[in-house]
Amino acid sequence: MNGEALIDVRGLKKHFAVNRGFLSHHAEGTVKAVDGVSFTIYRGETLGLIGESGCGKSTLSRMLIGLSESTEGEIFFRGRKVDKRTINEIRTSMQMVFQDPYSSLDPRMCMRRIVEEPLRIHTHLSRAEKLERILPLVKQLGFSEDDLKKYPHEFSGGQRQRIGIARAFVLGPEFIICDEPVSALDVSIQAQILNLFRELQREKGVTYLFISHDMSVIKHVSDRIAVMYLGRIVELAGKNELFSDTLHPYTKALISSIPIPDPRIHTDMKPLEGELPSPLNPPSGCPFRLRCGKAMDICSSSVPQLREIRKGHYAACHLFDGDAGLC
Amino acid sequence: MLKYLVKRLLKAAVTIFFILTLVFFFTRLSGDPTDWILPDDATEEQRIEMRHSLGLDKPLIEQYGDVLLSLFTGDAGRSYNYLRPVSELYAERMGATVRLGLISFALAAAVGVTLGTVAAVKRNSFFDRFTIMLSVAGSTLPNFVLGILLVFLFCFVLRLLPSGGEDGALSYIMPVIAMAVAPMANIARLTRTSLLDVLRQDYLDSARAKGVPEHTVLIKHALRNALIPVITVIGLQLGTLVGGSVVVETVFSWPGIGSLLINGAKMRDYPIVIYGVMLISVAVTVMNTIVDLSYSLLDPRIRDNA
Amino acid sequence: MERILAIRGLKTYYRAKNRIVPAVDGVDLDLEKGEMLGIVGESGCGKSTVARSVIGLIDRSYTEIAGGTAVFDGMDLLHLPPKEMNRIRGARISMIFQNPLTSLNPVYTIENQITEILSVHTDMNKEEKHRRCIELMKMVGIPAPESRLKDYPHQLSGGMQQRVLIAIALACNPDIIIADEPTTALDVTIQAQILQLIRSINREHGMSMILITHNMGIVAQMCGRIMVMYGGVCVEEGTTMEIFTSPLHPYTEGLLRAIPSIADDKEELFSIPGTVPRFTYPVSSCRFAGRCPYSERGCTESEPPLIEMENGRKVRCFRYMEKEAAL
Repeated sequence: MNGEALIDVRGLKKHFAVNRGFLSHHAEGTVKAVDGVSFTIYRGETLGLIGESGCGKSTLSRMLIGLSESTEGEIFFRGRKVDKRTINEIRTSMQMVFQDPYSSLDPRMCMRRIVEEPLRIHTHLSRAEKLERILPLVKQLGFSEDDLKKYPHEFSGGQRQRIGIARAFVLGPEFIICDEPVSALDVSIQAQILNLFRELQREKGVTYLFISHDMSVIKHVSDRIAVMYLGRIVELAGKNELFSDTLHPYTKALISSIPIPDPRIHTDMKPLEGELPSPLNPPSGCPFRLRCGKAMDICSSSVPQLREIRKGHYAACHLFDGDAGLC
Repeated sequence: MLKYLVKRLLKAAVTIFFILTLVFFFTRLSGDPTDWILPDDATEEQRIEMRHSLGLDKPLIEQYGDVLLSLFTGDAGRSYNYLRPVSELYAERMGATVRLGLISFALAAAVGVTLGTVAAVKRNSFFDRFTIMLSVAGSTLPNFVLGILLVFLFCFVLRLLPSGGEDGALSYIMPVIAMAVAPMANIARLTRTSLLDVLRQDYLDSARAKGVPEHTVLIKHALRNALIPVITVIGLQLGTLVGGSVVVETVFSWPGIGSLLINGAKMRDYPIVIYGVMLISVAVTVMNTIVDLSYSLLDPRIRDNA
Repeated sequence: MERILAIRGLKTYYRAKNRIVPAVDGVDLDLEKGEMLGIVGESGCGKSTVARSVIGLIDRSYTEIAGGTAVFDGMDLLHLPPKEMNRIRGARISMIFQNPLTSLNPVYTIENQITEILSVHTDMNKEEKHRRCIELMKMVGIPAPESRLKDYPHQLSGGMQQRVLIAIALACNPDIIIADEPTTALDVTIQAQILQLIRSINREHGMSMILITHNMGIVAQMCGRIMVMYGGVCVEEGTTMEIFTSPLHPYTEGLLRAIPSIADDKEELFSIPGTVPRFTYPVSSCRFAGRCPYSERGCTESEPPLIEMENGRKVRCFRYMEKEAAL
């Protein structure tokens, strides 16, 4: 993928001080929810971001959209640094679609108000102009004009997610973060929504950061995929390279853990040993080494950095220390 | 845990200090105690002399210091009217109040939890609706109104019970009812709500799936969890109970600290008032602290964070 | 093969406002000894209600068993007095639930919750129960069980919590274990561990299992036979291989084409149009007719019967009947 960089993230970190419990108030430790993440998202592509719960993918997305301040590092949008002054201009170009179609819509607002809300906040359009703006979009998403008067509880889960998508698209954004947008939906509805995302991208040329814990979904929607583990990106590559030439042992484990919906292909589901270490007390060196079948001495002493191992294929793993600079 | 306790008690001490300060200045605003101590035809000289002997002619700030100091050392001075140390007066009457309070509280908690539990289990039944009605009525009816109604019914109409004083088991019936009804209603309502919430929880099904009999599921698994928030409210009810005793004791001429405090306030007996307020504040604070601690003992999720 | 559970004509109806919802509307199901049977379908298809009806975990205040039998060891489970049912639940048929955290009582220790089932069904003394508890925890792969005994559920990870629930289900060596979406709340690598554990229980202990899930990958990899449910009825039943390689019902076909898979590259996912309708008793059309691409007039006029073929394969579709008739 060699296009124009839309988003550039450099060394992004988010550390939380943790007060254990509400009775004592002194900090007992720091959780490095996101710990030094760098990547680029190119205009028009879909970057898939996968990782298990607690890996930092949601924290990362909240920082990108300005809902949460970073502890360290920089974000550039269209080459301009995102900070307190620029974030408000950028907000109209960046939108988010949330996971839970039930709680992300205000139950007291009718569909029209929900979809128009971004216009109300960011523009000075008249009532009629606003309607004119939203109508083609909601029709494209399969709603009728009458549906605009309805309230969220009158819609099904899939329809609510469409409303969420309409709200995200109404300002004509360039970049949309989709945070687990289909994980609360049934299989048959999930397919409708995934196709819709693709159709809208083709038509409007929007760029996605698509976050999911479901590797099959990520593979379906993404051009490139970033794999996160304990606050770091451990592998980043084009979709096909990631699956055909998997480098990082964690990515391998993740892929082999997925039960394939075809009884002719036997997945041996070789599970990873152990569980995610406590983010309060991560292992020294490589965060994955305690569960890694290929851990070496160096893994406990030095944190592997994300480096380009093959052209456009990045991994953070000491197994490839020798391959450095081959490309 | 210990650190938390110390912090909590310090906060409580500050609160009590503010209460006492307020009460001190409000009582001083209420008028001249010598109006009550001396006969109506007393001369101005007699009044000045009386004020001097009570220390009321000193500057206000000095009086304030004296009062705080005396409370701190435990010697709260003498009552203007009874001419005896207030601590002694309160000690004499404490028993009656504590007996009344504990019996009322035990009744409120036992009946409230039972009513709430049955109502939740049989939700939408006649009993459930009846309990909801009763608890709304019970928590809105002021205890002195209830007290007066009871006196009217049982003493004047039916002539079954004594109208006042502490004299044998029968004399407890009306004051206990008057005091217990409101907290009982609140406890019943909260138990019901909390249990209804718990009854939807997955772990009850997983207990049933083990073959645990339904009544054990209800008591061991559901009620045990449902009572955690109820305990907090019971603690708060203890506070209202103490406040309620002041009024109820007056209605039933109960020889407790409540009626002593009310009389003291009426007669501008400053030492009685300030000592009584201090006692009640301390009692409420201590009870709230105990409830708070028990809360964290009951719920391991909170205990773990302590 | 020995049949261990035979469900015939199970009907479980909910009373909603002004209508009756046929959550399960005439389901037949046979479970053979030692097999792992899958029930698949989307939310609201009645798959969980089948299991809950069988072990009497339905809320009788708004649900009733409107018909059918479920014969286990000569007893009809649907019409068993509560006392008798309590002797079966946990001892001879046990259940594993979807959400491990909420399925454990937050105020009791792990040991307490495992030994409770032993207290109900056995007369082991304290020492024996303690030993059995540790043995069970080892069996389900909880490391250092002695140190975990006094833990409360919230102190364990999701995977460990699910292992505790599995230990409880195994405690009395039941004949049947019903697992209702046992891994839906877990991350993929942990899901793989738990599925591995469930598979080994099935194989090593010869325990008969019903695995209820919406995940086609899981049934493909785990089950020998599958029942596909839609709208409260079985629409298709067969061996896993049959269902995946030659689905007969349009719903099964749609479902299989709608899921993204890491094993293939679909450009566009097939999507089943519309959403699951809400059914009201009595239903007098094919339940899938409204969303079916092959639907004809006859499909909305009466409900197709479930046709059973010689090899035990079943399908509920007029289109199939016509094809058969033409042959």
